[in-house]
Amino acid sequence: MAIVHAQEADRRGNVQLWGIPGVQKEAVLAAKRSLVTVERIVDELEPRPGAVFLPSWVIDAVAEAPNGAYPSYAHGLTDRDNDFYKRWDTVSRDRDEFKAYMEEHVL
Amino acid sequence: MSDASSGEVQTIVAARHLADAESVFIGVGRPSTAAILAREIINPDLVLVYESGTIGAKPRKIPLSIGDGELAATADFVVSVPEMFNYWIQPGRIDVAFLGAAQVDPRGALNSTVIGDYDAPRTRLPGAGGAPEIARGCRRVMVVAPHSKRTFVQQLDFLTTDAQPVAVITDLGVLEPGADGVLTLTAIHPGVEVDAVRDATGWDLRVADDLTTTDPPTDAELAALQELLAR
Repeated sequence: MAIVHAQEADRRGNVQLWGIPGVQKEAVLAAKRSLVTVERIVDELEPRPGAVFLPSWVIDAVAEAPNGAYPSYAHGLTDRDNDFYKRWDTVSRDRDEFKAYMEEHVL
Repeated sequence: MSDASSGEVQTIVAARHLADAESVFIGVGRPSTAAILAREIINPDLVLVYESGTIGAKPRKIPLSIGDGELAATADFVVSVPEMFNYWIQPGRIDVAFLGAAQVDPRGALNSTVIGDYDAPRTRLPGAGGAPEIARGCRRVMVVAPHSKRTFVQQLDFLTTDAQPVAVITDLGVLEPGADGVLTLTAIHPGVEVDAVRDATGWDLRVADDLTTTDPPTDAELAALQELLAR
């Protein structure tokens, strides 16, 4: 199962992402099932030169999740919160702080 | 000379090692700071390559991670990680690899995997991060590491990368391989005694007959580094 975040999908479930592509395309294509969360769903994707395109037929589900990359970012749409990353150093050292963090941000 | 800290001297000496480099592959931390400094004051044509796939990045600030948006925004172009390894690193397109490590052995092999027993480690480290392929693919490897017995060990807890570096730049001096591949202390930083380097090395350190002393940081180099760190 691969879960990746992208900038946009159209109503048929095609996905387009850009910026640092990393291994997101490879993760989706290597997985048996995939979920792509996106910043926004648009009627028609406007093709961007150099963007990664994932057709709906390699994706099982698309979900709209604005700011879904937080504390990371979606290139061109949201900003990375570097201070949040730095706080992880202390959060990850202490069990209680870790549990409080999980309650607040994940669970 | 200015009163630079040993870490500042290390970063500046590492930057000087990139004076004639075409391109440099870097992670985050002191190697990244040195490469950014080198591009700013020593080698303006230096191409900075980050594992995230940003080639020709021109960061104004030191990135917290290789995925920072500024690296992509300022890059000449951005490629995927598979393209980075298959088309840029493997064919030898990248000149210098700047690597760090938790442990360095007498031949410059590196451990960035675990401290302690592999199956029950005392510390689990970030891992190879592509370093074995990077070391093999880039034309030259340079290692930037803090000089202590914890880091410079006779026997690695785990062999991550057979790096075969052309230089190991520490906060005390510079080591280079001899004809047999064993690291030899070839330069010490200003104010450092050879015995202090021996004491900080976990094996019987070889010292070059023509040992030199690194040129101290110039005021301009130190000011540029401090200004970069303060951004």
